[in-house]
Amino acid sequence: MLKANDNNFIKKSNTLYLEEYLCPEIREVIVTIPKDIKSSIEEIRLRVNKPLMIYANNHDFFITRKGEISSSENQNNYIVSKKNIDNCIQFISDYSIYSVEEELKRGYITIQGGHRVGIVGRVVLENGDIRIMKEFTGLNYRVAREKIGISSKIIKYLLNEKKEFLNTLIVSPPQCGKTTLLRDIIRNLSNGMPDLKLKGLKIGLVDERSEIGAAYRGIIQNDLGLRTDVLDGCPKAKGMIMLIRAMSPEIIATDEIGRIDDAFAIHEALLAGIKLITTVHGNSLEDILQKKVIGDLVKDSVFQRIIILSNKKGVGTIEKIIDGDTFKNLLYCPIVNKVV
Amino acid sequence: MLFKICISAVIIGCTSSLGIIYANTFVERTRFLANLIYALQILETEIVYTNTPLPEVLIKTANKTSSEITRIFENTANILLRKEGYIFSEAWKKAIDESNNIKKINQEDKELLISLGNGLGISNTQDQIKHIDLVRAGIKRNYESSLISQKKNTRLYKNLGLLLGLTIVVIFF
Repeated sequence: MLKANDNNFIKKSNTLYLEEYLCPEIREVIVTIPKDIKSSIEEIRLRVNKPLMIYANNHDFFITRKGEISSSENQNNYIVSKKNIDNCIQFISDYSIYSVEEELKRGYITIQGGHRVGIVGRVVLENGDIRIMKEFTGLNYRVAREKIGISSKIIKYLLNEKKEFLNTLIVSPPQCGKTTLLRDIIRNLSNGMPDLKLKGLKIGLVDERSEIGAAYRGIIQNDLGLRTDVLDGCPKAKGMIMLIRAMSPEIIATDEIGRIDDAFAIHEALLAGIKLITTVHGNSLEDILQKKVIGDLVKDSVFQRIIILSNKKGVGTIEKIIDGDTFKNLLYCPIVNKVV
Repeated sequence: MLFKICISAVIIGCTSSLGIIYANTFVERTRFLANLIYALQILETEIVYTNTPLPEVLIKTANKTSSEITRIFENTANILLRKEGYIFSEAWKKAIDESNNIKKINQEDKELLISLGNGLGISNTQDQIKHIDLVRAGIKRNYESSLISQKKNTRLYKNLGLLLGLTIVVIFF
């Protein structure tokens, strides 16, 4: 039998390993992948009766039974069976599908270490709502990598002269590191930054999709700082109102806003004198201005700082930091965040 | 004469205890099945009301039950927590096979136990309830038949033991 401890490739602390959540057959293949590729794996993809694939360094690779990787399909590829997927589900769900019913309805499960496994299969409906997912056909292991310190360079742009935090919006296309940046900004603000004479602030985080804190059985897996209260799995608008009333935060943080009731909650927070930091999908300021809810908020100058991300010079490149009142760029040149 | 009386007493004592030991196997089976029914009740409650994952449920249940079933639950939980790559049904079967007193468990009961493990954890709550109910129905049936045979056989084998001893004594002395 394999010992998971011997071949840790996604080490987040001394005890957390992703291999434990793969079935033994696939575990055996994955641990034999060359080290340089292993350390940069972003996704491991399993699809029924299709070759096992990984996604690393912005490319996808096929894997043979011996753990060799190739960029094109060939006969030696490891073909994933239905049994492989069913067995993997057992490890992901802690041998108890009944305990992850809610997560299955959302389509993903967060596992120890904050990694997430996306799941597809046949969805059973009841009165138009998703009741349960069965007959699983595909899994996507998304490797979580905390990038501690990536926001340290930009925090100074998010403060005014009195060292007060300004309402901030992070704009980014998918896979450019917007949640990662948000997480690190939260950590820095919550801990405080002595270099900038910024004291730690109380932060209320509404983590609707458990992406920021990556809660596993209620325990936050990522470092979110000392003064952060997390409302896990709660709808954003309701969660923001709950936090305002219950936890007296100085800053409210959420991910991916865009619905009308989100705007209502944001106004409620502003009335209470609470600062905001949030993210939205988009490529540029112009792109955002065309969107209904978020566009109106930007036009009303609710956000005083708008951070635009891209992956032009690697994932997490900070293209621009725009002043929300004058719409001028505050950066002379893009900041490249070195991704390990 | 005294010697003969002593030997006779020893023989009768031995055969009587043999009878009692054999009679007790019927009592043990009934007790095992009663414990199992109780354990299933706890298991079902934990699954339905707290949605706790199986390794934890098994440990909790093991703490509340006694007899061989405790050991099977604990062993399964230990195998699962080691995360060596066994799926639940494999770990469960391994725990049953490793159990020291497995030979004492009736074959019919063992099959029911294995079928319990084959269905645990692999479906949603509603299906888990149905699965546990189905297994429990089987175990209850076995429990009732075990109770009947216990009543019938316990006294029979105890008496047989004593009578065998007496017969030996009468024939030889």
